[in-house]
Amino acid sequence: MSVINGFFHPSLYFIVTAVVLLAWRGQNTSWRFLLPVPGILAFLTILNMESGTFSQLNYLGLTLTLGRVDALAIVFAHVFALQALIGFIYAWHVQDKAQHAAASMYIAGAFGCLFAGDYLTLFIFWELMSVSSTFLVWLNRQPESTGAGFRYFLFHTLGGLFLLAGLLLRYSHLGTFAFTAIDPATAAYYDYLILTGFAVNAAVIPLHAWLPDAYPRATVTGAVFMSAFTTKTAVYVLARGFAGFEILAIMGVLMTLYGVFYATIENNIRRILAYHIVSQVGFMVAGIGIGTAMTINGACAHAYAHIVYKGLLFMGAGCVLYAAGTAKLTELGGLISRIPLVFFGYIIGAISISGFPAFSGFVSKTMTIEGAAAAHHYWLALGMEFAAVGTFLSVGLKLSYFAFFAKPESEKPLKPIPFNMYVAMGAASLICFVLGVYPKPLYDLLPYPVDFEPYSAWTVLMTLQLMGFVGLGFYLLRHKLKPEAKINLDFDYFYRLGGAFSLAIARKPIEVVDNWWSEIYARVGLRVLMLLAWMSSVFDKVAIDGVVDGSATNVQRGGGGLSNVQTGRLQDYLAFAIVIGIGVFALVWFRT
Amino acid sequence: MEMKFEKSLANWFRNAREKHRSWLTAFYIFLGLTVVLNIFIRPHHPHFVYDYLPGFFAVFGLVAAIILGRVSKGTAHTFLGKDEDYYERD
Repeated sequence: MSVINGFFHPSLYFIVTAVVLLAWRGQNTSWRFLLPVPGILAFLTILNMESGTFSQLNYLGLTLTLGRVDALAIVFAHVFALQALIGFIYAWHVQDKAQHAAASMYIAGAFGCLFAGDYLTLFIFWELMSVSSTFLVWLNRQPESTGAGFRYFLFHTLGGLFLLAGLLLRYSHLGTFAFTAIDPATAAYYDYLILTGFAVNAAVIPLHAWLPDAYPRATVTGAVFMSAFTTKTAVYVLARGFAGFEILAIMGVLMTLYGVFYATIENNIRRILAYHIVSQVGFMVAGIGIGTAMTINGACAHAYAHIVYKGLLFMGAGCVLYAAGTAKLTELGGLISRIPLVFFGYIIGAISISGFPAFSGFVSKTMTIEGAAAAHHYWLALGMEFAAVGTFLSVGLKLSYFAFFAKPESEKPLKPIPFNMYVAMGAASLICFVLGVYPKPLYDLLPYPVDFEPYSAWTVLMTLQLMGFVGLGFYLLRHKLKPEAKINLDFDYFYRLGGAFSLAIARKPIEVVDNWWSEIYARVGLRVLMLLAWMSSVFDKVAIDGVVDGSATNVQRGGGGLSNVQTGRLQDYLAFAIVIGIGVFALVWFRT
Repeated sequence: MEMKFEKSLANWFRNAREKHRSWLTAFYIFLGLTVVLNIFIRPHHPHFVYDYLPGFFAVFGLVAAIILGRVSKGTAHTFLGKDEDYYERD
């Protein structure tokens, strides 16, 4: 099994946690002591992990590799484990076990993708992530979450189908599922299909709109998990397979700009942060696209720093939403002396993402921008510098000013914030600071040797000057930038158009065919069926009942059980399918 | 302990808000200082053509912030911004 050879798959901790949570019965809530456990165990496992290929299993004549370990996988796994721990501390007070189980399965999927050595294994865990994260949206149990969850799920299914088509076509041409780097010069159409699948999860524009659509509608704690894993898993697979693809360099820089553009006009604080994921992932995608050792290092370092500070920002925004009951800037303001600790945590995240010296964004973002300039991509470097300005303007200044200042002290009734939320924010703040002043442990984790020193008198002065004058710009524009109770059109407009179109098709032609068929069925089919039923009932009475007495009652009971399962809600079917899928998968794993 | 810390932090912020004039003055002094220091501290390898000039990033930051604010708000006002129930209506 997998423990032999010194590799234990971290996904197993999370799968076991999810199963235990789902199987737990009774009112007793001591299950919550389980929540930090998988994160801690995964972290310890990853600290002691050695490079190599483990846990290969033969399945239907194919070799699936569940444990390919190297430096690139470890840097992501390291921060995934850390964020899993922080996220579960933040979610400690949540009574709804289903949310924890969904988050756990989601993280299991993310780890599975990191260590997948072939496209088939990757695909399985990729879909596991997509399904379980959909539940983090649905379990918010708001009417708007249901719709957003469906759009999220459908779009990820589409992305998954691109990936599946690409990997199958690739197999038919090359005869291998091996997941290795693809040379941009020889990439074929099937490689681009895979790239499109990855780009959906990396929120590459214009395939990004699921992100600002779904994340603001997820549960308070679910959004913290989602901000970390989906896009960063995609960054990881892009770094593994598609480093040096020029298109990614350009799209990445466009993403950085697109995200800050929308963040500047949005009203919902969680949507502002969601657009900033698009923007920040843009830095990573650009680094991967440029493809030098320095920019790939920069992308990985930025992913590491980003997971922690974006989690922190989502935790801060989540606390505001939890306490005030709204995430709209127009309804917030003047909260500074009401929830000062939340502001404190949020602002640490905000100056980290803006790349202030002594905080984590500074040691990772500068690496990518410097790397772009060193590779003579001056326009890309300038674009990213512009995006850095927008980041500080929208997340650092606009959001914090209009949520915490802008109005006299708020009189709004606030729900008290659970202590565990503060603990998680404190831990994340500490990590942001420690990485900022002492980046060496992070640099040592990176896939290539690092020859880069972020701190010099010039870089610190330049950053302070740049950010200072952005502050001045904000001060001058502060009335102009006042948030408005509006939503802004984005590419999800077109997705919804597609949805309305298929609904129209379903209503008109398909319904006509369906009615017609029902008619035939009622007239002809039913007669035949009745005849058959009569014949079998005769057979039943004469032959069967004499032999197996009581079988009819059993069938009836089984039918009752099945009808419980068939609730007619797609959510339930999905959950059920996942449980069965995991069961089958686990059986196969333990048998080999 | 935690409550006490939170209270004193809240009071500190309340006081700071009342003295926002002095904070603003301190901020302007800080901005001036970064430009003055820039005369002595220059990049060894300028990336863009003009960034060896003192104050380049001051201008860049200010102009970029104003362009971004103006363009994005302008776009929102002309065609991106819709009422909050836009997608719920039929």
